[in-house]
Amino acid sequence: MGELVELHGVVKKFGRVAALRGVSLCLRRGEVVGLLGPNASGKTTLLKIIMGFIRPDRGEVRVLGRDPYLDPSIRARVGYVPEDVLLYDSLTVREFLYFMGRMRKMDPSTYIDRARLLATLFEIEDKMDCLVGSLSKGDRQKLALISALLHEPDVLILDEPLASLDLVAARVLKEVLREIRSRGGGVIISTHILSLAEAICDRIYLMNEGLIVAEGDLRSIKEVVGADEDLEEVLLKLTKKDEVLEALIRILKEEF
Amino acid sequence: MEWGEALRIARLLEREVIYGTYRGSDPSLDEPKLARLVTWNRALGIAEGFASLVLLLLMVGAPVLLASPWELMATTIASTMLYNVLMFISVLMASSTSALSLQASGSIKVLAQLPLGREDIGRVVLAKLLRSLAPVLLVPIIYGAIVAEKLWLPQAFPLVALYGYVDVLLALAASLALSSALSRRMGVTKGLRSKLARAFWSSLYFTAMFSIGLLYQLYLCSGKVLELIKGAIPMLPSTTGFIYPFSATDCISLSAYPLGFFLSLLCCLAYLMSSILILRKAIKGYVNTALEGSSEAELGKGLRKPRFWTRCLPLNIAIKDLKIAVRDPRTSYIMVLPLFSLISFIPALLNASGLEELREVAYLTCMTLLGTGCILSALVPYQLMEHEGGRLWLLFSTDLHRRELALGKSLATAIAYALYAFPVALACSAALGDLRLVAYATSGTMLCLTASLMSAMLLASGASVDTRSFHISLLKSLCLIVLSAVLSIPILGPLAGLGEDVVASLAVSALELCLVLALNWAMLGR
Repeated sequence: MGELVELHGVVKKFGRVAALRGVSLCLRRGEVVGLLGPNASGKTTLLKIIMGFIRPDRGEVRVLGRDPYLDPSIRARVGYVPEDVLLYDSLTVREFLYFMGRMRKMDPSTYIDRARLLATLFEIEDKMDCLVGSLSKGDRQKLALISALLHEPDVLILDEPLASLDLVAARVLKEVLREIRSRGGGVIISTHILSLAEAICDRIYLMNEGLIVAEGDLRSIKEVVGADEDLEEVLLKLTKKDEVLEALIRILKEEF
Repeated sequence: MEWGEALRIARLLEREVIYGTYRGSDPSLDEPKLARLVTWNRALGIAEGFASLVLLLLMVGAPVLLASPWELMATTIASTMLYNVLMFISVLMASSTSALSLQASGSIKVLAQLPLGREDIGRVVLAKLLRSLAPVLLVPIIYGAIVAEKLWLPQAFPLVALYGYVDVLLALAASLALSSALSRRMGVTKGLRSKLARAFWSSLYFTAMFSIGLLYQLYLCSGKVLELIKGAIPMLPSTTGFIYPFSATDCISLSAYPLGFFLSLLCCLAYLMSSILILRKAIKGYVNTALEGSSEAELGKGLRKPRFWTRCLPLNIAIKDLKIAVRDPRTSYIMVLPLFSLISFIPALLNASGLEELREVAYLTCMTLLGTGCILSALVPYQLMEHEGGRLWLLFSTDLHRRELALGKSLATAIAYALYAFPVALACSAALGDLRLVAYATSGTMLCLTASLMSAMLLASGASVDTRSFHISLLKSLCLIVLSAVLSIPILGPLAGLGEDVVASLAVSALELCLVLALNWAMLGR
């Protein structure tokens, strides 16, 4: 069985800045992969390349066997939620969901059942008449997640999905991701929330300065730096931020 | 906060807009490149501002300069009316767009994190709006000087100039007050009452835009009524010389007499002070609304089966845009701007001396509306795409082609055009007993779709997920208007009396539409 997502030696530069310096990654069926790393490590650029929004300068990208940049029709089987979620504020929640269902070319009866289920799961079924602009940040995030899950995608790409979600919604999302995994789909999550990575990800890719510095399941990554380290310490050591952090804490104690 | 500081922050906000415009098409945008783009855009903005200044002065100043002595006063009065209308409308449009983009981009909430009071933030907002209007603010001074020099009435200069600034201040106040009102209505959706409330505020927005034009037209129509009243009561003084906006034109003739000048000046200063107070209140309301946000909406029922469902992606986009346009008219007021041309024909329609003249005026009114709509249609997709900025990820994450995005924007433009063109054409056709106007409305709808599709293709080709805003320069706008005008020859030709072959008009319009649709299909991929 082919991988859902495959990247080989992907390089991307923006002017003189190398966002990705030869990244290889794969997402298999029935797997949740975490993408961790400090700010500006290239995570968001990587996700945009997987979605086909950006063309890599070098390397190969395959999503469900096809190049997503040259064949964007593959997006019909992919769900995506970016980090900054801007929606149509002047539409009601109902109108927004209808609009996304139509844009996904779904059958209305299938779509309504699916949207109703997701709205109930994420507890916004009583806000259908609210304008999107009047929703809280958390509810907008939920709405964006619903719009990405409506068409039952084979691959789900989420950039910082837990930002602004309450405890219940975060838990529901984790269960949804587990459900997608159990059905043979795949999820790539970019996150700073280490507890999410520890709880749900089957494999983790750790990125730093445009490169993958570690990959594997959580146990094998921890073994690289020491069996007793928690994931936070592992990340700091592998990205060489532990010394930076020590220096910053010294400054904080002396001068703050 | 000092004005210098406010202007500095306003310059920073402009830089943000420029960044958002270019970021989508140039992901390698770095600081040196951005600095060059900022310099270039500022220079372009200044050039465009002066081009607008020249354009406005040509429209209002040239007739006065070129008028012969025996028609000078009448020409000056007419030009001054136009000057007041244009100053109000142009400032209202420009400041509405800036106020909306400030709100939508969240810039004001960012400013709230700084140690600034609400008055300081208000000052920054005003500085931003005035920067976008800068060269146009010279129009009152230049036009006032033209009128004073031509009429040999130096005392007319301060009156004409100050009334121009009254128009500017009131237009700024109107745009900010309406922005606040429209934002506050965001939470209310359920039921007929909320729909009527939203319709009211949207209508109020357009009425404000056309207000001074409407008032002047009513004033011209009321001439006969006033004459009757004056005939019955000979000693009745004319009070229109002190009622805004009529005082803005009547002050010119009044300024010829010392007492008239003194009273007009007092009146003008009173309006100026009032407009400053109104603007201050409007700024306060705008900042408060931007910082506090809209109220929580009423909760409603769950998801039910939709009444209408289509898998045609361009049509979905068009319906979405039209819904947003109705609820927030600031996102697409250019769609209905052609209706303004109807206002200017009201006096002619009411003062027509016979049935034949009435028929001619009705025909001219309808064809002017159709022609103006076609010409301006190239600018509508720009406004619609401006609202997509930052939200394109929603569209591009589906299986949407750029050509479908372009077609969706142009369909929204054409549907809006048809919604006013056909009723007016039908009404005029019924009055004239002549179905040609309905045929021209059909032709106009096709031409509108053609012209707007050309414009939308340009915008869609450069759009990406990272595009936050779209910018169209004055030069590009003028080029698009000229292109639209050329494409609209099947309508403009009959308007200008150059042949009235309806069949030819329909055929040429259909051919143009087919060609542009083919071009869209061939040139715009994913």
